[in-house]
This record gives sequence, structure tokens and C-alpha cells, in this order.
Amino acid sequence: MLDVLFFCEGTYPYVSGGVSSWIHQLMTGMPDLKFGILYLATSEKEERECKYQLPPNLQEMVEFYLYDFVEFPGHSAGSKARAWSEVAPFLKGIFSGEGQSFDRAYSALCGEQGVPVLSFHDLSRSRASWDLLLEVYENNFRHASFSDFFWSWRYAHYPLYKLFSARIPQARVYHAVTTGWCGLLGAIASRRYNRPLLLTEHGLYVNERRIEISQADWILVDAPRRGQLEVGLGTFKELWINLFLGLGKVCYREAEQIFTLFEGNRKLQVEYGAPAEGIEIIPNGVNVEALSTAGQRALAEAPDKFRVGFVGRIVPIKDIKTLIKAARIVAQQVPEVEFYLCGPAEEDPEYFAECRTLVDALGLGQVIRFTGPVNVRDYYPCFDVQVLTSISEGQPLVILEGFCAGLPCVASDVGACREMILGRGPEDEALGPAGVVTWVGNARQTAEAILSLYRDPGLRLKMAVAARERVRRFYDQKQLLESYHRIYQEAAAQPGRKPARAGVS
Amino acid sequence: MAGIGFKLRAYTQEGTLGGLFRGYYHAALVAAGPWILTVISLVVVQYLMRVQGDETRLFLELIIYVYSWTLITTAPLQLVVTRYLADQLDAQRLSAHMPTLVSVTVISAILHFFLGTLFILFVDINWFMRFTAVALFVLVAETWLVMAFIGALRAYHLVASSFVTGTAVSLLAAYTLGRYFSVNGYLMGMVAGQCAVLAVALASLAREFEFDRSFNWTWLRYFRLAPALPLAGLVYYASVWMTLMFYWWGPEGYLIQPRILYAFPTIDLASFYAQMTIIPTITAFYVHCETSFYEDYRGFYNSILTKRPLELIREARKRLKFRLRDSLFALFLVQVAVTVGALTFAPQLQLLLHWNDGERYMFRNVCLGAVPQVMLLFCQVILFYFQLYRDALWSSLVTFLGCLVGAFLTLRMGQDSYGLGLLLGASLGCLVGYIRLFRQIDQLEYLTFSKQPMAEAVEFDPSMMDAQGHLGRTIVQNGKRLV
Repeated sequence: MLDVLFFCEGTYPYVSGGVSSWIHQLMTGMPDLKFGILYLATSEKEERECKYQLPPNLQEMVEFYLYDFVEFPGHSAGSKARAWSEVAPFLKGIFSGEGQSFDRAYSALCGEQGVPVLSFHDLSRSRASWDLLLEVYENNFRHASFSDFFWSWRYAHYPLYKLFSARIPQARVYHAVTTGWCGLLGAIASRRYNRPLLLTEHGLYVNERRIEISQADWILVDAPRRGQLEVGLGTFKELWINLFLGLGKVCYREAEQIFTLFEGNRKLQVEYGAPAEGIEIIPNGVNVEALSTAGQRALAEAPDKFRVGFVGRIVPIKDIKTLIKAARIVAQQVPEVEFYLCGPAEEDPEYFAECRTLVDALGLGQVIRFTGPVNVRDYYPCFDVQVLTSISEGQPLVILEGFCAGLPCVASDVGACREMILGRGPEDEALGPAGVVTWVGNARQTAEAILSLYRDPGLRLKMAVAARERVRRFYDQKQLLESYHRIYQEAAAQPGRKPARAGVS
Repeated sequence: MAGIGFKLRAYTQEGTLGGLFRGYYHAALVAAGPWILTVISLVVVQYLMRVQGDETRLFLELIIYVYSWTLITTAPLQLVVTRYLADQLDAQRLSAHMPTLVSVTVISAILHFFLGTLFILFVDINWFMRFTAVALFVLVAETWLVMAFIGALRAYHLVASSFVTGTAVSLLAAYTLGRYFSVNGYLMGMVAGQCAVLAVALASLAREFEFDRSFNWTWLRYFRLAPALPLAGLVYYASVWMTLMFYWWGPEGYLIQPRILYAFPTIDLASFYAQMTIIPTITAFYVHCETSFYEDYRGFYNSILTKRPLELIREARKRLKFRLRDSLFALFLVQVAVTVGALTFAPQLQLLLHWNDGERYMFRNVCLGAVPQVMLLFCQVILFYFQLYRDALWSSLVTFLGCLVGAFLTLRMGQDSYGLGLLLGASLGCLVGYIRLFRQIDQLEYLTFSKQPMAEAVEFDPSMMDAQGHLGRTIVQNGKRLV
């Protein structure tokens, strides 16, 4: 049996990034434990390439295809009417952003003896499922396009039903790294095998989905009705957001322990329905010792150049366009500046093409270089400043890695960036700032921050000292690994899962 | 999260709706057209041969057997192919038509040759006559199928140029050759006529539709996808013809030839005349289908496609239901009026057509049965239209049982009541059919939406599931990468 099974969606081991690195770090840092991964993929057809060298203690990995629409056969037994009365409150609640009655729905959907009472056909095509759909529509969406509601319902529910039939390896501890589908799967696993569920949120899944759904152009925004001046996000975007909010609440209720990286996230978790007490903050950690040792330099030393580095994926959430605009302002005043954008660009080729077009349009072809995926350890020592213009972040590991190399950071005020740069608590703050915090999406402020560091080498040096000390004292990987090792051992020693929380709102 | 689009099944799109509509309308034409032409052919031949002897009777009964049995045996093929062609038309795969026709005719030829040979071996006639009778059986079956093609492909002009002309030619040739070569001559004439029909129709179809291969067998999978469709057609035709055939083997039926060629000419003749009373109503139904029903049907699906709230979709469905109900009632009144007229003038017809009293009673009985029969036909067409094949099958089965029970009862009641089995069977079939039809229309939103397939659906493969019925794919097991 596995010691710990992670539930991953769009992260480890196929997508590199903060969460993936964190999972890899935990597995490689605890060679005495046996790990497993349940990876939620959109489709089996989707191309995936492993971005990490899988550690030997990764014993099992299962892929589950969320949006491969397979009408799989169901086994059903028992009273369907009673089962519907158990499932209906849960399904209705999910569409209102509530996560209640999961326990009752679970027994109907998974069955007491492993034989579900409602089959997939019952849930998706039966008269009872239609009546439930009508009830939700009539109560909440009666003026909206029915066909759009129907398809939203169906596409939202399909993965929901399918997850209850997922193959889940047995483990002593289940660990979800987001809420949403992963969180629900964690809740199912916890009940199926009577083992505790842990939840660690880096970025907030609900928040990220909210941003994504708000920008989605495939979801219908209904026209304003007579006398209505604004429609806001529209019926269907709200419906999808509610779904993820509801799934989040299920996970908060079912998880025995909830962790996050920093205080800002904790407050948001509470806002999204997590219990106010009992959320523990365990910040990210990096291998300070290894990262502090100077690696091989990727770029030749050039004292006449001022090098600014960005490390991360070239994706909209990193707001690369603001960084490019800031680079233009800096380049106008500092001709010797060079920007290195280090990270994979294949995740969103369209966005990458837009960024390249912007670079060409602003005449920055000689200033900005996209390196693609590289060993960033060889780049940190070459940079003078690190910059991060994300519109959403958790606790970016790249800032900590840069700190290890004594690299000051200019970062937007998202996630844990402020407390990482300016300090968390009096002891930390006393070390002084390790960079500059800017407003989100503000190219001019970002440029001015870079320019201020360029103009004042003494300030850069001071910040470098603070950065090194901060990461050594508060973000060392050893502390992270010790904390989670203890948590896993305690959870694994439990005879079974504890009852779900009742008070999650 | 994947970018998920919203799409309804292709058939609810405008072009597809039209395709389905026309497909099933022509299935109606296929249902009525051959019947009407059969009736006309037989009535004409029978009228011309009336005063002649036994040999003519043999010819006439062979023709009745050929026409009646081929209509029953080709019904499943006709309906399946009509549905398949409607789908192909919607997908604009025109090159599939001719290969489909070729494969259907091959299957039909083999099937009917086998069935015809099996039957004719038991009939005590000479080998030449056996050969021509089997050839006619095969050719008439092919003709029905070609006509179904012409209807499904909307190549209506070919109906006039080939089928009607060919039928006329075959009647003429049969009559002319029959005068010199007796039954052999009649049969040869009919065979020649049917060959002409097929030759003209196939040549015209081949000229109009391009094809890139000889055969297409994909239509056969519709037997698996919608088994109730061919069964409903088979049982419906079997029911209607059974009300006639039943009496061939009854106490008044007699052997035209030793062994199995039984007949009861009295009811055959009366039935054929009576069946002509449905022609005006079928024409009215055609007009109705092309106009108001199609508009309402399209209106319902358009209300979904144009993203209306449920309330408006329901209104469109109610409008469809009420207007359909009113139209069907109007069609019923038309049929009642024609039937009342036919019954009123039955004595005059008796004098004009030299009927005996038995024939007049049976004419009356079948006329009465034709009222529910034509309404049942409309019900079946509309059920096919909404793809409610199971309901159509139930209605056909009830009709079949009703006709069977009715025919048994009339045997006890005496000759005056012969033919009333159709009245009972078709009435019960109508009752079941319309109750089911309107119940289904009442839940049309549910039926429409719940049958929608998921976009980019993946076919279930048992390897996707483990022994516990759980889905997923193991990538790493015991530390070893499997994929």
C-alpha cells in the first residue's frame, strides 16, 4: 500500500511549475515513503510529456481522463427513488456554490457494498435526472437559454459522475493539491478507503477558475433583459464558478487538515468556505544549500550589461505582456539592459506568438530573449534582478531560488510575493526588503522599480543580503520536509478518517 | 479545463431537419404509393380478366402473392435505407447513394430469389412459369426498393418517367402477351414491364448520382442501431396484408393449384376497391406534412437552436401538438367523408362492377377498416419522424394482434363480417399509436435533450475498466513505468 497519494490536475509530472516542483521536492525529499499520483487529464488523446525524472519511490501512477466522454456501463441496485432523494440535494447545492450533502450523495453514487444505486445512464439520461435539471433551471435560470443551461449542466455533471467511478490506488494518506475536481476525487478516495484526506493549496483553484471563466469566450453571456443595464458575468459563467465553489466546499469539509503557503491565501480560503480555524501555513522551501552554491554560469560575465531575468512559463497568468512593456521603458533609459525570459512556451503557443509580436512591434528584438526551458540554476548567477509580473501566484519558488543566488526581486503584489520580499512578521521584516513590490499589470511601476535597482548598486547589494538571509531562515526545504513528514506519519497512523466537518459554510 | 463548445445533434439543424422530414414523408409515399399502384394494377387486370377461366385466375393470384409478399418482405429494407439515405443527404455524402442502391438490390435479389424459389417449388406449375414467377417476385421487390430510393433521394421526376410508365407498360404487355400465350404470356409481360421499370429507373439514378465504388454496406448497421424501425415496418405491412391472407386459408378460401396456392378472390377484389378510398386522405396528409406540420416541427427545434428559454420551447411544442391534433382530426374527417361516400354508393358500384353480395359486404367492411388504417399509417409516419421507433413497433404489434383476433372472430361471425379484422386491428393500433405519440410529444423536450450524444464521445472499451468497474489507466505500477 502507498503511504501518500497525490491528486494532480494540470501539474506534476506533465506540467512544470511551482506546484509540480513542490510535489517532486516532497517525493525526492522523503525517500522512506512510497508515493502515488492520480493525474487528472482532460483527454487520453491530449499529448503529455513527462517534465520530471520520476523518483524511485513513486510507486504508482494512474491517469484519469475527465472529459473523454465514455458512456460506461453502470451497475445499479436498490431503490432508485431513495437514491435520487439522497443525490438531489448535493447536485442542487453544487450549482448554487454549496457543498452540502456529499456524504449522502456518496453512498448513492458509490454504493454501500461498492455497487452504486444509480448508474451512469440514470444520472445522465433518466427522467429523474431530467426532472432535477428542470427544477434547478426553473428555480435559478428560468430566463436563460435552456439549451446552454442543458449543456452546461451536462458538461459540468459528466466529470462529476465519472469521478465517482475513478480507479484510485489505495494509500494511507490522500493528499489533494487543489480543490475542484482533484479535491472531489480526494473526498471520494477518503470515503472509499476510510483514510484521511489532506489538502494543500498553493494558488486558490476557485480563484484561478474564476479568472479563467471570466475570460472564457466559449461560455454564453446572456443579453441584458429589459431594464437591466449590466449582466455582469452572465448566468452561465456564474454557474460554472458556482460549481467550482461548491466542489471547493466539499473538499474543505472532507479534508482533515488544510494547509496553505501564506496568510493571504488562508484568508481567501476562509472566504471560499474553508473553516476559519485549523488552516496551517507551511511555506514553500528550497534547497538553500544547493542553490546557494554557484552553478555553471549560462552567460558570460559582462559587467557592462544589466541583466533582468524572468523565470516561469510563458502563459497569460504570468502577464508577460506587462513585463515586455516595462522592458521597453527600461530599455529607453538603459541601452545596455538585457531581459531573459526563461521558461517553456509550448503551453499556450498563441499567447507566446502574441508576446513575440509585441516584442517585434516595440523594437525589443535585441533586448528581450526567450530562452525556452533551461536549467535556471545556471542563469540566476548571471542576473542582476529578477522580475515577476504575474496576475495570480501562490508562493513562487522562483523568488526563493533567486534569493538563494542573492537576486533581488521586482514582483507584482499577488499571492505571497509581498511577504516574501518585505518579510512576514517582525523578525522577518527586520531583515529588510529583498526587492520591490509593484501593482498588478502596471508596466511603468515595474520599470521604475527595475530602474531604481539599476541606478543604486548599493541598494541591490543590501537587498541581496536580506534575500539570502530570509530564504535561509524562513524558507529552507528542510523545514518543509520535516513538517510534511510529520503530518504524513501522524495521518498514516490514524485508524481511519475522521468525520467530515459540519460547519463549513 | 477544456474549451467546451455547445452543440446539438446535427439532425436538429435546419438542413438535417428538412432531410429527415422529406425522408419520412417519402417513407409515407413508399407506404402508400406501392399500395395504390398495386391496387390499380390488380383492379385493372382483374377487371379485364373477369370473364376468363381458371388459368387467368392462376395468373391473378400469382400476381397478388408477388405484390403482397414483396411489400411485406421489402418493408424493413425500405425503411432502413430511407433512414440511412436521409442521414447521408444531410451529411451531403451523395456518392454513397448508388453503392448503397447496388448493395441493397443485391441483398434483396438474393433474399427474394431464395424466398420465391422456396415457395414456388410447392406450387404445381410448369418450370417455365416457376422461373418467370420467381423472376417477377425478385423484380417487383427491387422495384419497391428503387421506388424507396427515388423517394428518399427526392428524385421525384423519376417516378413518373420510370415507375408509372413501367407499370402501365407491364400491364399492357401482360394483357397483350396473355392473349396469345395464356398465363405464361401474362407473366412474361409483367416481367418485361418490371424490367423496363428497373432499367429506366436505375439508368436515370446512375446518371444523376456519381459513385466512387460498387458497394456500400454501412447502411446495414442501422439494423443494429434502430432494430425497431425495420420491425415496425415489417409488422405493419404484415398486419394489413394479413387481413386479406387470413381468408385465403379460411373455409371459403380455395386452392388455385394443388398444394399451397390458396386464394379467396371475393375478399381480394373487395379489398382492392376499398383500399382506393384512402387515396384522397393520403394526398391531404402529404399537403399537410409539407406545410403546417413541417413549420411546427421546425419551429420547435428552432426554438432550441436559437437559445430560447424553456418556457418558449414548451410553447413551440404545445403549438406543434395542438396543430398536429387538429390536422389529424381534419384528415380523419376527410377519410370518414370518403368512406361514407363509398358506402353510400356501394349499391351503384355493385351494379357497375358486377359484384356479388359477398363482395359488396366485404367492400363495406374493408372501407370501414381503411379509416383507422390510414390514420394508423399517418401515426407511424409521424412516429418515424420523431425517431420513436419503439412506439411505432408497439403500435404495429397491437395492430397485428388486433387484425389476427378480428379475423378469427369474423370467421365465426360469417362471411358478411369478413374484412372487419382490419377495422379492429387498425383501430387498436391507432389507439396505442396515438396515445404513445401524444405522450411522447408531451415530453418532447426530454426526449430531444436526453438523447443528445456528448460531443467527441469516446466509445467504451472494456479495457478502460478494472475488475471493480473503476475507470483509469495505470501508468506506473510498483515503481515501473508501464506506458
